[in-house]
Amino acid sequence: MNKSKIKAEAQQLYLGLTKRKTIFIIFLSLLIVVITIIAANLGAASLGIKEVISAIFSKIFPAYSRPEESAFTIIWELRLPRIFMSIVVGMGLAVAGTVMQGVLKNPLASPYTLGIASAAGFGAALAIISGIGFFGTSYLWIATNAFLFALLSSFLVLGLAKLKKASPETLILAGVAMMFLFSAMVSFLQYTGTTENVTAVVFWLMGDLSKASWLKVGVVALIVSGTFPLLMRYAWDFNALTFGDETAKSLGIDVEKVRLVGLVLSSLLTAGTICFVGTIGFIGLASPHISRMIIGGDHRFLLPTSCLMGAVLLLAADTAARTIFSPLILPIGILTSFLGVPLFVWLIIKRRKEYW
Amino acid sequence: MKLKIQGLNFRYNSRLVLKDINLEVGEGEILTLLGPNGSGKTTLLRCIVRIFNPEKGHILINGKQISKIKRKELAKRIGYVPQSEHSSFPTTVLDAVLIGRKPYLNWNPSDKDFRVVSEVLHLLELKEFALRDLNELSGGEKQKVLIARAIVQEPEIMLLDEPTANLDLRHQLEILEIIKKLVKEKGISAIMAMHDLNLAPRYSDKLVMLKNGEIFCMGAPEQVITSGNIKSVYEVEATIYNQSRTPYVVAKRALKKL
Repeated sequence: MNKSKIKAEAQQLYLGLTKRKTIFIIFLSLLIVVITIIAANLGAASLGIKEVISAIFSKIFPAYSRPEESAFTIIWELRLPRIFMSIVVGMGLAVAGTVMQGVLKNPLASPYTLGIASAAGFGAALAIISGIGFFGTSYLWIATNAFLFALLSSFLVLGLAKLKKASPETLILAGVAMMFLFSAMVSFLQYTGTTENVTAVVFWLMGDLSKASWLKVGVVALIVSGTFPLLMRYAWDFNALTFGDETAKSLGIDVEKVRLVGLVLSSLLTAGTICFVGTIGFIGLASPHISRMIIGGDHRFLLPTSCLMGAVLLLAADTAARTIFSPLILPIGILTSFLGVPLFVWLIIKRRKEYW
Repeated sequence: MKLKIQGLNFRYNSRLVLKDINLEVGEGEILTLLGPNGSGKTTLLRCIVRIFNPEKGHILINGKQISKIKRKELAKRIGYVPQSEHSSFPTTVLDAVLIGRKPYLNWNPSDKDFRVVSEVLHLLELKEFALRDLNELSGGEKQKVLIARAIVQEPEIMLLDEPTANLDLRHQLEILEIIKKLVKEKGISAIMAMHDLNLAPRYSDKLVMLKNGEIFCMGAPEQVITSGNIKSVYEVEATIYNQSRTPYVVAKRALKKL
């Protein structure tokens, strides 16, 4: 066999796979558009798909179509902010989860691994119950407080790691310790708070997309679009880390630096996302795994796929949460697990591999 | 001289693990590190590939100190095959080998990357496994993947930590033949850590016996593999048979600690 033929084979094999991965990414993007339109159509006031599409397009191309004023308002003021919030929050959590799992080399890692969720919960609870926030008690301040405490927790863990040159296992353990600490403090606050405040805290902890606004969508979108390209630059380094620290180092990677950058950026992404919507679980854990099962572990494709997968999952879950028991709206945190776990288990059974 | 180590000391948690190591490896030469568990073989390899930083002394490649070479550049010159490896997520053999091109990659693997990877997969008869999951392979096949990855790095020096550990007889010989062929054909240098006192002299140009982090003796195989050295280093009584300059060791019994 001559050399060019040998070469052609591996390359064809590889490029064939790459093509399939790209097609899947395009498919997910289109899926988001379709679910968006369906979701915008579902709700208390029925509009019809045609009306929905024309209302959506009228904003983008004002000359093109002219829908009814009420439909326009319902779509652009009520439904789309919530839909886009689901999309950007899902993206943020999924990307953070992918990076956490990658740099900590642990399939159980999630955006909340470094104690971020419970710290954010504590920040929010503190603002709600005692009014001691960094800035008082209105919704924005609750968000700010949650954000700052989330970052505080992850930086405490990372600082500890820097001090003692910690392994990923130590980082995870320290994160679990943080989680218990902040959970205990949340319980304490709930114990001392009034019924009304405790209810507010419980709702925050279950996750809530109902307070979505274009401003919040914008802020989260900015955080996601700011960190994502930075993380993509490390895609090959994350790939190398899969094979262990030793191998990654021998391949020329500054393992400590890559791990730190990954954790700082994903902490920022998590904190910036959940401070507006509360702790929405499972998306950040499941999206990376589901994506890995479908397109494999190459982070150049895994990061975008998982990002879109997170958006699809959260958007689908929120749409279900709004419509299943309409007019009652279920808290989104409950639905993500209800819908995500069966999908997850189904994929695990279907794969039949040693690992999943 | 390809690789030169001068007065190397390495300390791990305040314990001196390597003491005053001095050695040299030339082009097309295989040097094998021998010694009991904990004698510092793996640690020395890790110092050379800069997973560990020595406390004192110098490691030079073609006269240049490795501590002054950028990590990425060093990865183009030294390939490291760890004793074992566990990937935290499922990964195909193709991806596991392709990552060896990491020091050369920007975003998309180039034609050259594919050519090198394909040739090595072909050479090590791994092609049929290309899309198999790494963790599904047998010990011997997995070891070949790790070696394939180091080869596609196109290094001048290969470090192999017990490349034949946990392998059956056939795979042991196959892997050592591959390494020997590579070293001789491409003129690279190899440093191996090994436990097998019979295979080591057959495939090595130079042997180094380590004891408690120090070089106890080094030289040509027949100079190093003597019953006296084995007694001092391994605390084992052994008889040596010499067959056409290749010593053959028959271990008799473990000696009581002195």
